[in-house]
Amino acid sequence: MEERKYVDEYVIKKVQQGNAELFEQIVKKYQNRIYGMGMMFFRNPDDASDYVQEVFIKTFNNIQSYRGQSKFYYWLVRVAYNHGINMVKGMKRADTLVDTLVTDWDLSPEESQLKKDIHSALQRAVEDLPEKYRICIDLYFFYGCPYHEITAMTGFPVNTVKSHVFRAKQLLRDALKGSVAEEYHEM
Amino acid sequence: MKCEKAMEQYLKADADEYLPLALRLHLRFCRKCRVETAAMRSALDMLRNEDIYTVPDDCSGNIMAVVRNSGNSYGRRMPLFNWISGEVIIIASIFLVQFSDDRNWLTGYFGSNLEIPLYIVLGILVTVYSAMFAVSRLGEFKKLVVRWQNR
Repeated sequence: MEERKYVDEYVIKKVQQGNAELFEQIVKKYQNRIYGMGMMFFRNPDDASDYVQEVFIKTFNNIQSYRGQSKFYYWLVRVAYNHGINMVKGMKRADTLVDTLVTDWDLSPEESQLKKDIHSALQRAVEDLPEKYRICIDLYFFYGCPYHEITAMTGFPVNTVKSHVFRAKQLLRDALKGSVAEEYHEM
Repeated sequence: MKCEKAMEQYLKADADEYLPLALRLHLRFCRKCRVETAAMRSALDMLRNEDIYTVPDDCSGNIMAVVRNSGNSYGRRMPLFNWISGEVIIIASIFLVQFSDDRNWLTGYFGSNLEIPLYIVLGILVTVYSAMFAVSRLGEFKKLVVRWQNR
């Protein structure tokens, strides 16, 4: 039977109404993303796998408190981020996903070069940042969170988030100048 | 609008932010900026849509097993706001019924003996409604009692 795909908010509404089985769609869709966040916090596959399970179970247990005021995905990222922060309290800093960007991708030479350019631009952006602000880059560039969501999650002032992301975007722009991406869009 | 200013404005914009008209017009007519923003957009889309890590083992089976055993089958629950609104309406009706013409007519017809049965019916209504509310929120009441006992 063909599995129908629904938007997250619709699925969550159904889960809230008692159809818990639909929650599996959410887990399948986002487990890699949450695992990435787990790796960012723990740098260890076993801990990251445990973290994924804990985050989704926590999300399910608190599903009634999701009111649909923002996208469900942002809410999930927020739950995951808060859970990760609580778990690593007192431990060493969270890692950044920028460091793992190129090594995991197996692509054509052009795509690979483009991603190397993007990687080096983001790495420069991250290197210049104090450790605690590096999460802003991850949340914006890899998790697609808007400024106000990052502010709500991290507690950093919105202008601080904006300025760090802006600088990273400028570096990204410089890296993309004359790249394969620009050549492609010039055609 | 100059290209540098346009690009600065573009870079400052949030992920799904609606771009100002002047900027959109500039991008429409300036090929250089259009190419640059398109490259930026595809780079950002690529980063956002890529799963940098893949879970070694699909966790969904384990998670769903816990979900199924958790007993959190919520059923079709009415939101708290609706419950409270209903309660307020019932209480307001009880208060306002004494000013109603129909009540005056009923009193005239049945005499003062109407008061007791009327308020018994309204009392039953409030009790049934409160009981339904309590049953629908049993889990939360249980948690409250446990928290109160653990104080």
